[in-house]
Amino acid sequence: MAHEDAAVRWISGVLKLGSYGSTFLMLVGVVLALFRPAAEAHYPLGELVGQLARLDATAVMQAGIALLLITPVVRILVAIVSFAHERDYRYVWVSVGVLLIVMSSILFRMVR
Amino acid sequence: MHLLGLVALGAGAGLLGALLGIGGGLLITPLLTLLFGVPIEQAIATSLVAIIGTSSAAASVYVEQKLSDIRLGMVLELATTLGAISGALTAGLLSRRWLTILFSAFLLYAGGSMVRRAANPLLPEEDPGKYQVRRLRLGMVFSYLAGGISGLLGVGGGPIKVPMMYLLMGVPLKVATATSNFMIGVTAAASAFIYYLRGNILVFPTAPVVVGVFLGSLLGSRLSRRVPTRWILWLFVAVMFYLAVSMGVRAFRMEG
Repeated sequence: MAHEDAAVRWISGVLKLGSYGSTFLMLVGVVLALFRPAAEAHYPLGELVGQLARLDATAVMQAGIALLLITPVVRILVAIVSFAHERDYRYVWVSVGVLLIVMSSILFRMVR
Repeated sequence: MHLLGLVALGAGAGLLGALLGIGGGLLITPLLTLLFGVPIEQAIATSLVAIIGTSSAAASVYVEQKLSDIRLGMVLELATTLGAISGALTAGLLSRRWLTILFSAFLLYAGGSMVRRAANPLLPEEDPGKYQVRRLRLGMVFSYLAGGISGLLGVGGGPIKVPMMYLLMGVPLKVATATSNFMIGVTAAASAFIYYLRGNILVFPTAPVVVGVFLGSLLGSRLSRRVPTRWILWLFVAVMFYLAVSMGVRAFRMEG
């Protein structure tokens, strides 16, 4: 039971941090864009960190979007760990399956 | 693009969606294409990102309250995510005209089923106790379909999954709603990655709309007890039918 409470807290925490945090980043980016329009509409991932350091509006918004997109992925990872902790191996496999399906497009792109 | 207009669009969709307990996803795409001329594949992608945000925020509360059936959700997600990928890939194969037509048809269907729901409201029950999940395989089929529609049109799929769990699978209504919300984020992410790789997720309109939807739905969930649901429901249905017709006309004028 204690395990389940921990899992609940972790999953809930990830969801909150991911949704609120990413939206806050996007809000910051939107406000920045109102006062300091960015040069580009999109940066490839390699340039992103550099532009973030300059508080570029587009980069901040891109980072927010990326964070929101990976939130469900992190949630699945947390579920995997917590199921493993509870030795509920059937659901470990279920969760790994979901993770692979969700990431399949990204993995496929990387392999190509 | 008009930044504040996009935020306002998101806020309106989020507010209305939260007041009614139906995702904002349904309104975002038509409003973006009709009012801002956003290409429909970008609008759908924006909608997917938005519903990751709102469903994750809602699900965090449901999970805390131990209402979401996490295990059932993860099993069904095997099907919804496969469906979502199928839907997203299909969307890539269809012309904008056909996507617009499909969305218009879906709006009509959703409007119609909301009218039916208004006529026969589901009664909330007392606190759900133990329950036994039935008909899992049938549930997987419906989940795949719900995921497919989600990936194709950028909606949440709640109106398919909640009745499926409640009426078919023996899950109490509160748990069904909580679990559906829990599943939407992962389902939307599965298709969103494909839209992302296709270059459909751009900072404009996605970021301001997502901010608006998030704020709107936060406000909406605060207000939802104080505002009479009935006339909002009818307002929503009217808006949906209007948008359906507008999208239909727009599709008619398109090529392809």
